[in-house]
Amino acid sequence: MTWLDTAGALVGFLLTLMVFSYLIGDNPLYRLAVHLFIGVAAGYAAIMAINTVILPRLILPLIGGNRDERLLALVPVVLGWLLLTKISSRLAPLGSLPMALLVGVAAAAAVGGAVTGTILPQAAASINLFDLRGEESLNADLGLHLVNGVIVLFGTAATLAYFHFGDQAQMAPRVRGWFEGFRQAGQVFIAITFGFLFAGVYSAALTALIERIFTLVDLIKNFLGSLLPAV
Amino acid sequence: MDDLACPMCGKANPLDAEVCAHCQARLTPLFAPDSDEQRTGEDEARLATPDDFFPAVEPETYPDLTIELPAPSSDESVLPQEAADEAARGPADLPQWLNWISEASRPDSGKPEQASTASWLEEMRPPYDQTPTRPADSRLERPEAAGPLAGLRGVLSARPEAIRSRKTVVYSDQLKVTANQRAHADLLKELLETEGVPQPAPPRKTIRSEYFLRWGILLVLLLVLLWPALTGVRRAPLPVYQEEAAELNRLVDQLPEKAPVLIGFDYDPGLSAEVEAAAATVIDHLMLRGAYLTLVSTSPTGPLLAERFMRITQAGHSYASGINYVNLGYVPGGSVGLLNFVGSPQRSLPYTLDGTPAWETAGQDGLPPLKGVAAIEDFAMILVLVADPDTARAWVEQLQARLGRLQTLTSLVMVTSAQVEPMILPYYYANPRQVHGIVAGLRGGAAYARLTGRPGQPGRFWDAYGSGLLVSALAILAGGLVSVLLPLIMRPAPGEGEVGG
Repeated sequence: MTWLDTAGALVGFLLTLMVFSYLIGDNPLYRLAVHLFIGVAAGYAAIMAINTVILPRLILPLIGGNRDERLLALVPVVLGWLLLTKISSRLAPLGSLPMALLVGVAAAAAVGGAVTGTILPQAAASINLFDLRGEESLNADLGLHLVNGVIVLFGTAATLAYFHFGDQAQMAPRVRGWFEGFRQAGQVFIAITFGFLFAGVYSAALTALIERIFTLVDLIKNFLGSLLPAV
Repeated sequence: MDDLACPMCGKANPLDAEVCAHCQARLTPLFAPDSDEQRTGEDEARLATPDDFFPAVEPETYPDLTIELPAPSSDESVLPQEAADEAARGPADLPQWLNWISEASRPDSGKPEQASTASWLEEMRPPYDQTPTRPADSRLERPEAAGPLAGLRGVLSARPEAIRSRKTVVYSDQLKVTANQRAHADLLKELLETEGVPQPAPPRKTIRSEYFLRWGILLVLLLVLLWPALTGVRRAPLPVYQEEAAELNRLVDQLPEKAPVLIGFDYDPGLSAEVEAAAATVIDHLMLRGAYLTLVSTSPTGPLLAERFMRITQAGHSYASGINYVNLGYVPGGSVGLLNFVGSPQRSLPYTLDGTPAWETAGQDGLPPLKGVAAIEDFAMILVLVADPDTARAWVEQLQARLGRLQTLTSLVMVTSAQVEPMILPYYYANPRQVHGIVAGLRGGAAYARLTGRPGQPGRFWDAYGSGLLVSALAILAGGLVSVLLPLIMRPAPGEGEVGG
């Protein structure tokens, strides 16, 4: 272990204790650790952006690129400068062009991906649960496969019904009663999903706590081991 | 003719209308002669006399006009010859009360004496070739009795009589609202008023036992977690089987030697402990298979985490940067950048993290991990380490268009935080699969470690993890029971507190 590793481990130890001090309430040590974390992360992100984006894709092509590369690099230069005009309230309208480009392209990529990557395949997957000729149904137990499909179908429909905010006064009283029961079943499915999500979040936090505790114990053990004479 | 044209504005009006519906001008005379009475010159003279309507005006008060007007006489007629001819053609077209005018304007009733009028007044006269739809109002034939035009015929009267006086309409300035609208307005007003008023915080229930309970749970949890760390004892067995992890293990086993594998390091430092613990066994397995690794990240901190992971977590392997693995760095632009990278990885990330050209081109060989790789489908496997559901979904969605083709053999697998697992599992269970294998959280990592027989970090944490989850579950269960049973126990007995009886 080099001195740099030791220093890093000690800083990590101290910062971990400072964050743990939140157990006794909000205090300056905790806030210092949080501000340090945010500041270091933001600073590193800025350096990363300069090193991997601005320098190789903007500055270097402008300085050492051929004519085509220079012309191509002018596009982000112009758009970048226009985006910077957002700082000034007087010149802010000039920045609307790059902003519109950013938002439009991002929205197109997100929507296109969601449709082709999630909505259509997931809808097809829900339908395929009832495809008894499928490969899975040939290998799996047919009854179990059907039960699984029915549960998924019922859960999907009930969850969608829970988010139905239409005018139920138009329904006949008997239909309204059935619909209300269906919605409550959807609520049960949603509660189970949230329970699953909460368990995942708690599990992740517990793992992070365990890793920190093991790191602290290892550091103390190493420190004490180096102090104690070898037997 | 069914309509009566207004002499003032020329618009059509019903025949029985007394005033014009458009300009309020009078259409019938105030003093119409009887229908059977034959008008004579004296009658006309009498009607033309202004004294019948207005008080007499002294002649010396008349304005000095530059025209000579003839004195009213019985045979006076201002109608031109054409009008007189038309009147002579037949009185049937005219109202009955105007017959006297027709009679007076007939040639045999005496030729009128031509008046000498000024040129400007001549211009004001309507052209005679236009056939009037209705003879002029008799009042217009009367000489004006007041004002600067006194003594003139055929002019509008300056007297207030010409203007129909009407009662001024009074409009209320009060808003007419219903009681319901008023109630809503009051409610809105109350809401807006209370918005800016600081509300006193509700008094917090001080439960002293709550404070001790919280610290008690923390101490128990810390003790349970510290014990395996201090003793290093491993008693709990690793999970036996997990389908998603087993599928990932099978895919890695099937990889050929030196297969190019793309790894996305897309997690934040805050969740690195869990993701790295779970990923350690999978990447350890890949390194044992001798796979060439290419590292990328859509997070700015990802490249640093990737380097740290390769140097510390996988220090046992002799993987060298640029030889066994290559770190291409940061993919800027989120989903858009990812889409760009998936479409053209060479153009998106041409250099490694230290600025070395990474890809094989016509002029250079490129780095060993990227030899023979030109498109995203050339990777044998794409492994994404992710701790955020949105990032995980972005990878699946942007890769779907390329990996969803039948001829593509590249498999997409994921090592995720446990909090992402519920959102990613549907992609694994879809038919056809969109994600071909998942290791989720420490439990998935431990299951994978059991399959490979190399416990590593998940095996080290597993005892503490299991004990911590057990204590947490017991605490939640106990808290739930107390919250349900306490109100039942504290409920006053029937009759208790009632006065009298």
